[in-house]
Amino acid sequence: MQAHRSQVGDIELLRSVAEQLKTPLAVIARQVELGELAGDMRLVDTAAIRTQATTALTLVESYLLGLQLLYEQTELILEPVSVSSMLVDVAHELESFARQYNTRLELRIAGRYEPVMANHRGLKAALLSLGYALLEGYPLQNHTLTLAVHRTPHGIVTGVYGDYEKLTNKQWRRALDLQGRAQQPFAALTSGSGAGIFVAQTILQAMTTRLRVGKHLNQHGLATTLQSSQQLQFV
Amino acid sequence: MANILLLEPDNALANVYVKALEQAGHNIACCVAAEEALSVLDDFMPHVVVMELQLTGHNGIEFLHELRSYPDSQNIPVIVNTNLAPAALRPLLEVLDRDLGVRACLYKPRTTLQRLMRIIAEQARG
Amino acid sequence: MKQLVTPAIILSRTDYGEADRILTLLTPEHGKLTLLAKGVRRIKSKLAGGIELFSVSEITFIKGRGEVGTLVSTRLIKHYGHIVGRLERTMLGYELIKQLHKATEDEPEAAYFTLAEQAFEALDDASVDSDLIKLWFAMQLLRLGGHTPNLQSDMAGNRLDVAAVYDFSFDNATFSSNPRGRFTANHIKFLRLGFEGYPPGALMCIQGCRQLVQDTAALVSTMTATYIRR
Repeated sequence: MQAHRSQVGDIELLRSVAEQLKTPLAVIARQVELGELAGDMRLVDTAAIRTQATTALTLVESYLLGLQLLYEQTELILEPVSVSSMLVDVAHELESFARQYNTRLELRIAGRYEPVMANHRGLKAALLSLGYALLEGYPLQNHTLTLAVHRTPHGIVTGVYGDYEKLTNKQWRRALDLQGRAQQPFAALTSGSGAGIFVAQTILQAMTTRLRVGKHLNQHGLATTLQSSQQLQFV
Repeated sequence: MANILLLEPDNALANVYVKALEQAGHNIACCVAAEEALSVLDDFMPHVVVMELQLTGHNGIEFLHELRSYPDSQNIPVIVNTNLAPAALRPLLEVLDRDLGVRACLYKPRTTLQRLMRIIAEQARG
Repeated sequence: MKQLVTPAIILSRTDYGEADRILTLLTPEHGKLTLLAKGVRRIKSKLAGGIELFSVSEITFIKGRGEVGTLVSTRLIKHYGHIVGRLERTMLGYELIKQLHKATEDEPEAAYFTLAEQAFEALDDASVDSDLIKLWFAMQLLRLGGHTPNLQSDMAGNRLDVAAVYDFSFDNATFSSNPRGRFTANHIKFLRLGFEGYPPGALMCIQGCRQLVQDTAALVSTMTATYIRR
């Protein structure tokens, strides 16, 4: 399926990504300056620099991947993917960033789930981008962000959830409308442009799915529904 | 040495600012959101507030209006240190200055720690 | 003492002593109220609950012997949460509340409460332009203050001509025919709809709305500066 996107939509996403990159780059610059000012580079938190650089690179790479998947359909290879395994990978990659933001990451992957048809690289990039965006914007300290998967009659739902006040479809639709046009399209979730959220959406759209507001147990967040693979069923 | 209330939603950036300010000998109360910052004011009266305008939930403008509604915090100098691009900030400058007592507006990505600390020290001296 | 219940919109709040706040609220039936919210400690009073800005709340209050009554309870009916998601909208929201506060120093009619609600609705709607809301609001303040300009006939008393071009005379708040004038039938139609109280969302649908806002802004702001208390 050829994805239809306007040039305006692409410009807005680029603007959003550019805005979001200000923070990790500022962190890196200020960390180095801290060491220089004090004349003691031991003061520099090199782990923070590494994590922020990784986040920024992930955002840029995910953004480019999203565009590639949308516009170069030959890249969109769908294959059976184990969502549970993927969430474990994603959690592992988000861990150091979560620590930097005083947030505990939780995995809720209880149960057996058949593989879903998805582009492996794309799905991972989408979940990572979403995770980074929600971690960075998370206003509360010492709280938990949950990566979860559960089954519904419509498919297998996976997403990232937190102790947010209830998120509504109206807020989400408005955020999609405002992204790239307002400084904070999703102010209930993040102080920044929320670029990671919209990059995730772009990637998932290429896979003919998308993010929706969702609820998992007592937490709210954003999630996507994936269809299970008919070819392979893990016993 | 001064009491600084730092309202910065990004924890990683906040950490570096806190370290720099502590190195300079200041006492810091660091908050990520408007509600938290207002709670802190009950027990910690700052000499200077350094804040981002773009916050999760209630934004910096709301915070400032609330801050100025309390007699004991009406005159605390406020330094805005924001990711908001200068062109987007310009329409807000007059009201920030005239009505909300903002003494300086800084563009965060381009503001060095050295410059920030100098401006804080100036404002703390009064 | 009889407790009264009414919808209300907060115009201002100030600290009062250790634990109380004085609130100024606009209501449809009781005009402007000044109420003491007792024991509302700072931690609870700010930015949450039934006394949030950009909200309509249902309040229960007791009228005082003097000017200040007592707030008994509040219940949030509607919070226009999207206003605070955009800085320039928040700023505009505060400006409008401030203007409303000033314009309603005397006994305000219910129409001012409706105006506040409509303003919040417009601010909450991302598709409605901020400049339009600002202009529209000024028009409503003029209208409610009895200062609508003459949008039917010109200085000579003739009906405004759809083909003619006009200038505006601030002395008479009337248009006068001038071949080099700045205002056309479209401008006048736009002003008519605005001064008749059509909401901003409806005005947005007018073709060339953005340009019309720009073209008429100076006219409305000069009238506002002249007639509306600041």
